[in-house]
Amino acid sequence: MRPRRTVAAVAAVAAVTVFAAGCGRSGGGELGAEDTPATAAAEAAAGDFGTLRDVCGPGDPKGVPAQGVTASEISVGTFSDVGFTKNSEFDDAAKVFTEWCNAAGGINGREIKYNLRDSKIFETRQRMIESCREDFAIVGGGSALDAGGVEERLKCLLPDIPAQTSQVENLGSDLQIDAIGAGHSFARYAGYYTWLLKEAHPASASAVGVIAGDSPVTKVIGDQTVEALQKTGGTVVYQDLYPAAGVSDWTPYAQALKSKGVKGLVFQGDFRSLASLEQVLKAIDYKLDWIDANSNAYGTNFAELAGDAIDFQPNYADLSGVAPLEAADDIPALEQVEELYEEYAPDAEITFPALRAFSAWLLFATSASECGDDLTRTCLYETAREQNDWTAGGLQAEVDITEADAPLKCFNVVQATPDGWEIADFEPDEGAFRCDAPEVRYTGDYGSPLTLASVGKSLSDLQ
Amino acid sequence: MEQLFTFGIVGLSTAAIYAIIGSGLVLTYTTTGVFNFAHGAAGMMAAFAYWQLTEGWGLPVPLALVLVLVVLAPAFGLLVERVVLRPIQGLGDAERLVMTVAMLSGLIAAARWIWDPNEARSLPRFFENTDAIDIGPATITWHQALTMIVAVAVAIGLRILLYGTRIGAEMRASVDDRALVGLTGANPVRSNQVAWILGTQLAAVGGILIAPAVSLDASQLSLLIVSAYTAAIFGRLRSLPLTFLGAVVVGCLESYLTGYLPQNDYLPGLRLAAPALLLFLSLLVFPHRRLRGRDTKARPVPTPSLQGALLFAGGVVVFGLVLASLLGEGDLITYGQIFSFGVIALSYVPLAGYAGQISLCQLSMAGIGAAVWAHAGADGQLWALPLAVAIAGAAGALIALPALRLSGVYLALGTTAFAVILDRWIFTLPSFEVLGLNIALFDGGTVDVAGPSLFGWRLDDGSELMVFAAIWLALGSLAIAMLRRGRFGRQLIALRDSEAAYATLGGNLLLSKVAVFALSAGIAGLGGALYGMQQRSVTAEQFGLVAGLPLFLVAVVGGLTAVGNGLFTGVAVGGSFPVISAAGAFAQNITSVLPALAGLGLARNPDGAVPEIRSGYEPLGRNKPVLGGLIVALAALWVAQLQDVLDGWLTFGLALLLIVAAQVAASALEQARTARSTETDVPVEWWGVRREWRREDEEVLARGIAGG
Repeated sequence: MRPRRTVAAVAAVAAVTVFAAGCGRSGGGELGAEDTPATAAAEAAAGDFGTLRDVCGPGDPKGVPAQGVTASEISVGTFSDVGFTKNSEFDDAAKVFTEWCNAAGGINGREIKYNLRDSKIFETRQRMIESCREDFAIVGGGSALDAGGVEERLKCLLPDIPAQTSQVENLGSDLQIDAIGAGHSFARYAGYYTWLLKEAHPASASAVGVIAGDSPVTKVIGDQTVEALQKTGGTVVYQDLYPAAGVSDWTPYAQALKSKGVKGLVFQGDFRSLASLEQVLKAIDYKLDWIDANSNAYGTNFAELAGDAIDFQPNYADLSGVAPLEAADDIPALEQVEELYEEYAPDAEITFPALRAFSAWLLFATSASECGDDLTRTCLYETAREQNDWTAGGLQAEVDITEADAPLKCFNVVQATPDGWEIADFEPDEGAFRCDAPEVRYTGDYGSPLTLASVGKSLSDLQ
Repeated sequence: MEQLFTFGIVGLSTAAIYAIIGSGLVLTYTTTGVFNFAHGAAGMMAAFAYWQLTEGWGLPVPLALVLVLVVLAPAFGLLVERVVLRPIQGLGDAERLVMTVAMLSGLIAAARWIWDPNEARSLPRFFENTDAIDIGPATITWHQALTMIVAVAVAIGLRILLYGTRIGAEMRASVDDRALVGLTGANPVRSNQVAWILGTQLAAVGGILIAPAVSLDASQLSLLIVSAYTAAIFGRLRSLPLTFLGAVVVGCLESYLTGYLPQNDYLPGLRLAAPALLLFLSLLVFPHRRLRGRDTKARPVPTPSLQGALLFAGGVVVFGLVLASLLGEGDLITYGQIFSFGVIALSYVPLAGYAGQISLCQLSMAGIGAAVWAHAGADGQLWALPLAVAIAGAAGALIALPALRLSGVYLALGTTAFAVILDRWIFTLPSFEVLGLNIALFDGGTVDVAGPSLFGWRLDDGSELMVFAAIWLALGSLAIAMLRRGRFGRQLIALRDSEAAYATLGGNLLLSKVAVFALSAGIAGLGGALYGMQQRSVTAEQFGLVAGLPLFLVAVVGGLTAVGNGLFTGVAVGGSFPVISAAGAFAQNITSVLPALAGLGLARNPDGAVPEIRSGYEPLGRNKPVLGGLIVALAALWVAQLQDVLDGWLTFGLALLLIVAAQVAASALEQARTARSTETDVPVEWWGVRREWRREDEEVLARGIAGG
């Protein structure tokens, strides 16, 4: 299953527009509030998270079982482009999680020490080499141009539990465990698109449009989107690109949508541009049935930028099985995340990628704790891979991580309003999620992820 | 038909914005002779200031508009005129261009520093809640209508100003002959100031009008104006009516392409590159008048001695060897850039330094080299390296053909357009076939790059590749030094000094320009291939226009005519920036502003930093005992580090300290010696009588007489 992708289009010395296109994951969710034993943070033991017991806790560790693991400490790498994008969400998530975990006793008594690997867009390979030298595993982060680091990572056999992946070479590569599980060969939004085209807005199925940023990576996503839309019953009548450096006036695009009679629009680009486009659409009074704003727009900024135009037509985003922040009152795990942020990083915003980072961290900590004193990479990888009902303590729909490349079953849709996001009326059937997504396998050639074999290694080399 | 009309209306509303921005560009260019690359950035700053006043601090809109347009923008314009541009009035095109490019990158960095880019800021449109106007099937918002009205008002206002007022007449006069205007009692500085104030105000108007449609993003707002450049070129940088016509053509072209361009894998990029293509074509097709008279003096090009060049080349290789032995693997990739960037920067020396041709697409040429090497040299075949150089060279020759008609700012714009076309269209293409030849550049994504294989010896680790690149930088520097000493180098310098004279004397302009463009693109291509090898995988984004600007800036700061410039630029961009930015977020902000500040410091030191550094170290070169001591000490340090007695950074620090100390000591010694000799010196008429006649005395006398 495949994670959310971030695609960076480096448009300028100081200018990167980060596009992202949602995320995916699968599984059946026993996730809802009713399944979750009442375990708000206050009542739970220090190392419990949501429904997870003893994620972190004290112990009496001995020995140096693997690189990056000492008797007192585990070094973990967290990738981020913060030096370029100035977006510190992965850093914040890592800080909150590790401080909470260490306060609860760490991983069987070993403290987690995270090393922020700031890849600054172009330095993924360098950071990966450094990570190879010092870290035990890579957890809870992601770089926009992450293809640069995969080969090094596979060569040094570093397990990777990312919060997001971006480029084809990395997405679904070996030794990588996607905590929200989205297989790279399957369309992530199959369930979401089916709902849009067949249930929510059936009249729009005959006229769907796709606009993507002109970065090489978003172009791939744009092509995949077209295939997925066609396979879920849509007819794509308009497909276009816009320059990553920005568009001075979106009116021609709006006019093109109007003259092609587009009724549903999938926008694979940055939400700032989408906000501008929607303002123009409103100005020329062309009302679409729906716009897929993608999960990158899921945050407070989008509504702020788009203003009234957001109300002009429905704006949706698929969170692919990650619990929506709006449901925090019903989902104890989310509430706990909010409390932890309040305690350890009161100024930081909890974003969608941050929630995914949390899921990754939880998967890491749970698996590492289970390994006990003899914490090796093999044990971490294999234990994490054994999770067949992973819900990150309630932060996400249930996924089966044992399969590395499986289709998403669950999705959950949020809708933007001028006051912020709210949960759309998508008829959830398992807790906060709906888990009847069809399986749509890509048949187009979009490249393939790197494998251990491609660097002359195999899984048996993992120690 | 209906669609034709609709998209036409849409195009006009876009055109209005380009017209406002374009007219500001033309105004400053005609009056001051400076093509302001930072024009959009000034508008961006105005838009941010306007946001800060209205949304940030809650001032009423009219007050904020007055503050921005009447107080801040003029103040900024005056500041720029006084601090940035007046000092470089007498310098060449490249230097003046660099100042504005420096301002562009500096302003973007500053805005990102001041206003956190992750925070959403939106500016409301004007008349947001008023219903739009329907014109047939098309709709125009009041904001768009306001933009058009402002554009027309600007046109009329400028016409009245330039043709109906005294200051307008002065401004037009100072376009034609600055010196003459001064003689007639007018004040050319004043018309410059007026031009900067007006230009900045127009940029501010454009920025405030465009920002609500684009979102407040420092780089987007600053870089959107490629289309406005095209409009300005339509006006041949002189004529405002033609600029407006150009804006209409560009606006409608963009609009119609959105509506009518067939959809396939190859064409969308064409639309994105359309304004740049149009710019390129209009540069070629329109006749250009002679650029503003040269009130600049061509500066002499230093001739490196053979011995010095060899010593320098050797030094580069030793530096590479030492660095390769000191650094860890990750650092080797980061700092390996010192040498590959160095080679790319070296390509500016023959082109911009000797032949005086400004090119802003050298990094794009490097991109071609890297892509060719990645595909042809996938298994490290050495023959692919000359192939990469040859193909990059061929692309360079292609640019040279239009360059025949262009010079100065026009050439800079033409190469900018070329870089944008590559960025937005060619580099993002999936692989395609031309004449049965399968062409793949970046495969629409990332390509892996292999290290070269030298007669069966595969270079694939960072230290080997660093030394490999260092050797190429040394060879390149040596070759450029030989070029300078040879016939071709002299031809190029003659070409720079006066194309007319060069042609009159029998020089072939076509041949020389094509040759120098091809040569420098080839060098850049080599640099790109080396860069790719070190990075192992490259994407098109690493070779974009904007990524290349800091390289160009630093190269100009280093001094375009100096052979040592390659190493200087490499060390500055590939070495010092990573070192500084490793120190944390604050330091990263500093490095993003640094190239700009360095560029702005150029006025003090027009020959560049390299000659100054060289002259600073000449005493050291002459002082054999100190030099010997330094070498021994450095070698000792190196050995100590290799034996793990010292740690890498400590060694680096100590080495730096030693070198600086040796330089200071040598200079002090030399100064003391000359001071002594001056003390005991005797008046000129007693030379050869009270003291011995020296060999250099004859020249001193000859120069004294000639100078007097």
